[in-house]
Amino acid sequence: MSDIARSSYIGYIDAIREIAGECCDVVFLENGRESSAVSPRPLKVSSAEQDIILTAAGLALGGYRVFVTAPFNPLLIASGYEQIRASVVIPNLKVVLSLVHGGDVLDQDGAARQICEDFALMRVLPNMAVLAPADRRSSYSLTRSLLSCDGPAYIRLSYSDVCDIYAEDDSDFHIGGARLLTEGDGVTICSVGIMVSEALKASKVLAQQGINAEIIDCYSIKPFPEQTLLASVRRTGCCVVAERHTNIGGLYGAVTECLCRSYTVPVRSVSVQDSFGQSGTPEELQEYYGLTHREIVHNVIQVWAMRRR
Amino acid sequence: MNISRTRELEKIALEARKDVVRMVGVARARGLNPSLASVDLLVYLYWEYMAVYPQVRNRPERDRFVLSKMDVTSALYACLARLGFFDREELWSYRRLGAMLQGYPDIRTPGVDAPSGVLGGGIGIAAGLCLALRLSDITSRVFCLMGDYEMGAGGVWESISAAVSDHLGNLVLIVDSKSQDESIRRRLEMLGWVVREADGHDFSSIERAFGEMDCEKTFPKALIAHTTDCGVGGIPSYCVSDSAQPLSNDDIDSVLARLESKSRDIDFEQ
Repeated sequence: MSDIARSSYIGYIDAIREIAGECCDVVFLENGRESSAVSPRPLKVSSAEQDIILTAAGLALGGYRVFVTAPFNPLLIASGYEQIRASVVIPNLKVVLSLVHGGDVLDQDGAARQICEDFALMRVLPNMAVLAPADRRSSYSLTRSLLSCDGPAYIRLSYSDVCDIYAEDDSDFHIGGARLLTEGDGVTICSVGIMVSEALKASKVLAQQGINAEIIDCYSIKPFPEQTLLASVRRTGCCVVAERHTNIGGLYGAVTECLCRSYTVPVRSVSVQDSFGQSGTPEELQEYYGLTHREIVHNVIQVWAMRRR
Repeated sequence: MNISRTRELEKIALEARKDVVRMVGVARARGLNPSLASVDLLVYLYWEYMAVYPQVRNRPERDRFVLSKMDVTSALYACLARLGFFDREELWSYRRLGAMLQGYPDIRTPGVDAPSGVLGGGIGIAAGLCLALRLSDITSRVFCLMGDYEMGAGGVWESISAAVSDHLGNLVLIVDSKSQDESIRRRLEMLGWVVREADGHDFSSIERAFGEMDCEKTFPKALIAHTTDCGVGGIPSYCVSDSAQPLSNDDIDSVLARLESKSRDIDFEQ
């Protein structure tokens, strides 16, 4: 982990700018009032969510791969859900939806603008790939990997600067993949997005207490990297999930669905407990909802005591 | 349009109507009314106005058709089969498990350019298709058929106003209008659309209206086509009402008999 702090959003922007220079069959749309000058050559900038999704569907039917970026509107996927479902996902079109602040309760706007059920909404749609990179490098690399995706994809980005987790030349990221960040036999910690760095902090505290944590960056929520998870819990016998999402239908959902089916171990969730967000400073909210490395440590200790041996 | 071509189209439309009635009868589906009402418009577009190539799948320079008015799906299928996009036998398994012809258009079906499923969503998809054609330097047009009842749905007017600012001169919207409501025309014109009205069952009237708009290349065009319940007189009104019950076999037979006698009338006039 380096000291340079950059957001996954920056990685995404770097990638799409490069893609814009290389590929002529890719089109960029932006959901917003006016162009934020982040998307390369945006074909259209519109605040009309439903129209922009339908336009993306039309462009994809016309043979283009479409990136729809919503830099300031986390609700794009909620207000355009019917359009996403019937016009993009059912016909399996090559449309990438990217949201910043998706799932981010640490935004000061309050419950109406903090959509922390986005993984669940997108994950239940057949055909849809759901991704959430943890840092700039993985975001860049995953965005580039979307060029070989044959159907729709949702990618959740964040403005929060996090210290680089992956090396600058690391490009081993793909849809359906996961990365083992630390190896250990004490507990499996599945984390995603911004919580990956919290999990890494937690592993240092846990190491002092004699628990070696195996941290998995589950950047691909769907398709879910089941084999990586199963191989890990067979060694550790217990699991903690950390995500900025409600505890229903997100990464915790994906992990427990997999474990219940194939290899049951005790699991705990560090997430927003089936509730909406509220206003507050990011620091206050992080504490209030318990989305911290301390909470991960706390849950690990509980679950470790009950681990499958 | 000369009289013999008009008669020809009328006969095609009658045959398509009969197929619709048979399809809806076999599928025990509802929705005879909107399908029958739009048949003439579809026949005019597919046989007279649009560039379609049933023998060459997905030829780039074909005109695209987006069906937003979902309840005329059976009429679209009947027309596509008659044009030779797929075997007419497929019509009899419409809406069945495993059938090619899904309840609403699916892009896997030959001849279907865009999916339906969102009320009023066709216009947005059509606008996106126009942009894709422009990017690819293809001058084809995109047609979208909507029902007047869809004009109140969700983002329809978002898409309609965006089409003007995007200068989609190759976009043609056809509003199948059962009401005499003037507000749709006024609102479209206010936003910058070129609008004409026509009798949706009169091929010469449709041709005239399209002819007046043909030279417009910058702004999107709309045809408000006034239609009646089923476009053919003498069909009992309960057969074309929005009933919750599928039609009985006797009803299907009587509607077919009425259409048969109508086609004998056309032969006689010729």
